[in-house]
Amino acid sequence: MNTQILFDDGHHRWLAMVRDPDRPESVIDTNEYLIVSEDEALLLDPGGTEIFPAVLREISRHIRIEQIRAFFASHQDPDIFSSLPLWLGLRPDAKIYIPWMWRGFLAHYGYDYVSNFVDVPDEGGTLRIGTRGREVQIVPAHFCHSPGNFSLYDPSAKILFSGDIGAALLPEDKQGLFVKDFDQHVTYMRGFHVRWMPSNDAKNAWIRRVRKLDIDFLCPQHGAIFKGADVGRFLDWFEQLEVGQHKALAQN
Amino acid sequence: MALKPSTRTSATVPSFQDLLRYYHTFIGLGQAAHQLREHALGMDIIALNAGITASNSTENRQALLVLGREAGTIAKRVGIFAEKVLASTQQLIQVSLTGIMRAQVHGHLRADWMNEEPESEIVRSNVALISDAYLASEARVADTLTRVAAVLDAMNDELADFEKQNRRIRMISVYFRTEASRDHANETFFNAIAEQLGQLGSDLGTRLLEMQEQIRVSAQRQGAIA
Repeated sequence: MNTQILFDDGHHRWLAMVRDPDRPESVIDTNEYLIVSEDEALLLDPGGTEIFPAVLREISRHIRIEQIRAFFASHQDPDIFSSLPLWLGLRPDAKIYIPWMWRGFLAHYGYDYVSNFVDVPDEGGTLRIGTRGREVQIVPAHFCHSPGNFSLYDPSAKILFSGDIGAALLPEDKQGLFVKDFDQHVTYMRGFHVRWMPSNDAKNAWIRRVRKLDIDFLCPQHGAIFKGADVGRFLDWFEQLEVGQHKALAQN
Repeated sequence: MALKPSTRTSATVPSFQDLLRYYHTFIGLGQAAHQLREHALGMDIIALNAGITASNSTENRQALLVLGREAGTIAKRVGIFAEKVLASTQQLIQVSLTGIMRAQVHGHLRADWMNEEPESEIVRSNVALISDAYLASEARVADTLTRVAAVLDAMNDELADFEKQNRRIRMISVYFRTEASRDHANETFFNAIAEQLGQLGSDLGTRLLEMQEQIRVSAQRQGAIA
C-alpha cells in the first residue's frame, strides 16, 4: 500500500493510503485517509475486512494505533467499514461517526460496538481533533449515492473527502495518486456516476454546498485525487452530468 | 522491517477451533430444536383432545387425564427447551463469528509481526497493542467456551429427563392400544391416540438421541484437545 502525505503544517497532517498492490483482484480498490492532528488521529472510511491488515500495517508505520480516537464512515457500504470489529478490537474506546440512519445496519458489522456510534444528523456538523482542537466539517451528501451520506471538509488543510463522489475505477496503467489528464479521467468515472448517483437534485445540492468551500484537494474513496484546478473541473463536469438512471432501469 | 503482508500462517489456537466446533454443534442443535417445536405442537393437540374426551368419558376418564397431563407437560417443556436452544444458538453465533474473526486476524498479525524486527518505536508500540488485543480476544473466547460448555451440560441433563418422560408417554400409548381392542365405543379415537403418541414418541426419542450425540461428540472433541 502506498502512502502519500497530502498536507502537513507540522501539527496537522493528511495521509492518503492508496493502491494496495497485494489487494485481491476481486476486491475493489479503496483509498483510506488519515487525519493526524497533534496526538490524535481520525481515520476516514477505514475500508473492508479484506484490506484491514494492509491498512493497519501502513498506518502503523506513521502513528501509534492508540492515537486513533475516531473513525468516520461516509455511508454504510461494506468497502467503507466492514473492518469495524477488527479496528474496534484494537481501539475499543474510539468513536465512530456515522450517518444516523445507518446505525442499525452498521451494527451488523459488530453489535458489540454500537455504544461507540455517534449519530450524525442529516444536516451534518463539526468535530474537533487534536489538542489544538482542529475543526473538520461533516458536509451532507445525501443520495450521493447513499440516502444517508456525508463528505468531510477540513478547512485547515483545504481538503474535501468526498466519499464515492468523484470515484473512478482506474485501469492498471493509470494508477497515479492525482488526476493527470482530466478529460481522459472522465472516461474512468462517468459510468460509475451515471449509474450510482440516483438524483440530479441531490447531486446539484451537494455541488452548490461544496462550491462555497475553499478546496485544494478533492479526495474520493476510489481512484485518483483531484488537485488544484481539477477540483473545479470536476464540479463543472459533475454539474452538467445527467444522473438518475433509476427511471430508465425501472422500465427493464 | 519489510511492511508487506506476510503469507505465513499463524499457529492454530485450540480454543478458536473449540469455539468453531461448538458453533457447528449449536447449528445442529438449533435445527433439531425447530423440529422439537413441531413435536411439542403435536403433543399439545393430543393433550387438548384427551382433556376434551376425558370430560365425556367415564371408563377411561382417569387415563385420559393422565395422558392430557403428561402430553401437555412434555409439550410445554419441549417448547421452552427448544426456545432456549435457539436463543443460545443465536447468542453463540453473534459472539463467535465476530469473536473468531477478530481473534484470528489479530492472531495472524501478531504472529507475523512478532517475528519481524520492528523498524521503529511506533511499530513496536503497535505490535504490543495488537498483542494485547489478541490476548483479550483469546480470553473472551475462553470465557465463551466455559459458558457454552455449561449450557450444553444443562441441556444434556434436560434431554435425559425428557427421555424419561417420553418413555412414560410411550407406555400410555401402549395402554390406549390395549384399551382400543376392549372399548369398542372409543376404538377409533384410542387407536388414533396410540398411533400419534407412538409416532411422536418415536420421533422425539430419535431427535433427543441425536441431540445427546451431538453434545457427546462436542464434549469428546473438547476433552481430546484439553
